[in-house]
Formats: sequence, C-alpha cells, structure tokens
Amino acid sequence: MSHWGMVIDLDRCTGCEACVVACHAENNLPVVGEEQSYLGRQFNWIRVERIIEGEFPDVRARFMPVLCQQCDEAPCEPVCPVYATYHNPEGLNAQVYNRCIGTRFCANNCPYAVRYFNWGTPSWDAPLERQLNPDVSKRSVGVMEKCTFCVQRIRRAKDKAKDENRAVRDGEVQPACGQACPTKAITFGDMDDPGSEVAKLSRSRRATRLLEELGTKPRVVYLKEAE
Amino acid sequence: MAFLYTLTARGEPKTFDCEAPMTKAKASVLASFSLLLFGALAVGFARRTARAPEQPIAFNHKSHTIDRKIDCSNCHEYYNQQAAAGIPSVRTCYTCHSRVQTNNSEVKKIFAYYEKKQEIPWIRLYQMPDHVLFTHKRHIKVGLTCRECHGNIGESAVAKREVDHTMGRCMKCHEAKGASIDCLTCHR
Repeated sequence: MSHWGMVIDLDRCTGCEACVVACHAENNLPVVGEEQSYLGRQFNWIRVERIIEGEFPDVRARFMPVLCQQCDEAPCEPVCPVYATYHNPEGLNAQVYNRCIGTRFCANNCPYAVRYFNWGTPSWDAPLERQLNPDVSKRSVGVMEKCTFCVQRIRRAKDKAKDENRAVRDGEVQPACGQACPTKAITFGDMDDPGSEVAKLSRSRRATRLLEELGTKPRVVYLKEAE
Repeated sequence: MAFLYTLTARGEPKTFDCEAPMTKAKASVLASFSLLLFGALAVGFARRTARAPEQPIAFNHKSHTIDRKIDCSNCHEYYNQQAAAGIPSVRTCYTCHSRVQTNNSEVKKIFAYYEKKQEIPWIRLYQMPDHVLFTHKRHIKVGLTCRECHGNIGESAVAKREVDHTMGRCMKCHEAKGASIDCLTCHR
C-alpha cells in the first residue's frame, strides 16, 4: 500500500500562484468574490503565503505554498463527531462530504488553517459550470472541504495500472498543483518506496516540516536552504 | 483514544417523562406530526412505485436480447470502457431500424425523433447521486455481470428497476468480494 507524500522546494517557488489556479480548476473550487473573501470565506485548498523580510530598500519576499499537510497524527480527525474526516489506508486525510454535518470542529483544530467551509451553496457563473471536473463531487452548503492530494488522480493512475497489471510507477501520479508548477517545485509520490523521488528529496539536509513541533507528523516536506 | 474522549457523553442525558398524561396541546402536536409522517411516507411510496415509468417508446429488451441474441454491449457501448455504460443514442437505434421492422408503430417513433435530430427522452431508472463516483468499467473488469446490479432487465419486456442501489447493497458486495471499503473509493 502506498503512502503518499509531497515535497515542496521553497528555493524554487517564485510565488506565481499557478498551483492555486490549477487547484481551483481541478477540484471544482468556487470563486466567492471580493465581499465573501473579505469575510474569510474563500476557498484555497492551496494558498501561497507571502513573507516579507527586511526594511526598504533592502526588502525580500519569501513564498510558501500551504496546503493540507495530510498529517499522520491529524488534529482534525479525533474532533469530528461523525467520522466525516478519517485516515484512509493510504495515509490520506480524507473528508467524506456526504457524511459531514458542518460542526467545523476540524477547521478550528487545524493548526495550518487549510480547511474550508461552505457557508453558502457554491455557484459558478456561466460558462464556468461547464468546466467542472466530473471526477470530483460538487460540495454542498454546510460541509467542510479540503485538499485531497488530488485523490481522483491517484485513483485514475491506480485504475490504469490495474488494467495494465502493474504497480503505479513513481511520478505517474501528479496533483494539479504539481503539474502546473512552472519551476517544478512540487514533487509527489510514494513515501514508502525508498527509491521514489519524494523519498529521496525528503532525506535531503534541506528538508523541514511545517509546525513539526506540534507532533502532527505532516506528510508535506518543505525544502529550504538554511541561512 | 482521543476518539473515545469525544464520544463519551459528559453528564447524564435528560430522560423524558413518559408517564405524564397527554395534554390537548401534546395530542395536537402528535396528530400533526403523524400527518406529516404519513405525507412523507406517501411521497416515498409514490417515488418507489415509479420503478417502471412509461417510456417515450415502448422498448422491449427481451425481443432484442433473447429473441434476436443481440449483446448488451451493442447498444450500451461503453459498459466496459467508461464510467457510464451509455444510453444508446437515436442514431444507434436508427442504424438497424432503418432496415428492420420499419412498419412497427413503435419503431416509427424512432424515425420521428431521428428526423427532428432529437435524442429520445428516455426516463432513467438508475441515477447515482452527485456524491457517488461509480464506474462501470472497473466492475465489469472484475467479472461482475449486468444482472448482479440490474436484475432481470435484459430479459424483460418492460424496463423496470428491480434492484435498489443503496449504499448498504454496495457495501455488502464490496465486503463479500474483498473489494475496498474505504470511503474515498466511491466518495471524493
């Protein structure tokens, strides 16, 4: 059984937000507009945090894409009263939309703030409703949603591998954010396979994890050269 | 262990006084509630009885599959390749019926749709809800037959929904056959 993980090379990230756009298109994320966005009701399964360092004129911007860390010890899971969020055998932190009753406990318990709640019925202005991804369900009002590591792409790759009677190859599964990244900062693969690209990169001396001290065991590894 | 913590109720639940005599207000509430319940049941029953809705054309599966030995895949073309098995288009019907059974009154209805360049508005018997992602292909590849989920439809004269596609039914089969019962298999 694979154990999916992601490596994001911060030294390569330019903060272009192509990943954010790709994620919106792939995962049927609605665009809520300025007013709702101001109330904090926007959907960004992946967002690019901008960190400004230094004083003018010696200013420098750093970028950090933040998405669901698919924690092995996920704080969101034990607080769900209906088991709508759980850990699946592949190590994905799953959200079952049709089981969710919208208590929002999970989002409140998430240290990374990567869970998004549907405060209203999601809608798409014409003709955007025609580009919805049929492999991903449209969420309804009152349910929580989050990054799935593009589970529909994982399933598709496994389906294809099954047809060809082989295992999923390294690099065959690529989430939308990784596919769109122009600098190839995002790598995705099986952490359990020691020969996979992600496993190799996660052993790098540049590897760090976000808020690792909380003991959440995040499965997204950030690469950054110490200064 | 944290699961257990959240599941443990804090404090005793309040018990209801069942012995108290029924007041007028209580009785009226009960009456209106039972009326609602009856209404809901009636609606449910009406939906359940539409198992064999009247179709725009009285299509007969039996005369195609049994009498003329036509395979399901001739009309439901994508059953082993894609998520949807495919309801045949009017063109598929016309391909054969432009030459066979042309005087049949039901077949003449096909011509009417074909000439209007309109699809036949078949009424679906099975429709998965939006939050279920089902694929015919995978189920056919593991060796399931149409009959296991669609009953006797292929050999009956009138198309009828004989099997209820509930989650319980899916789960029972998945468990028995050792298929994945992870939520993400069908819900994502």
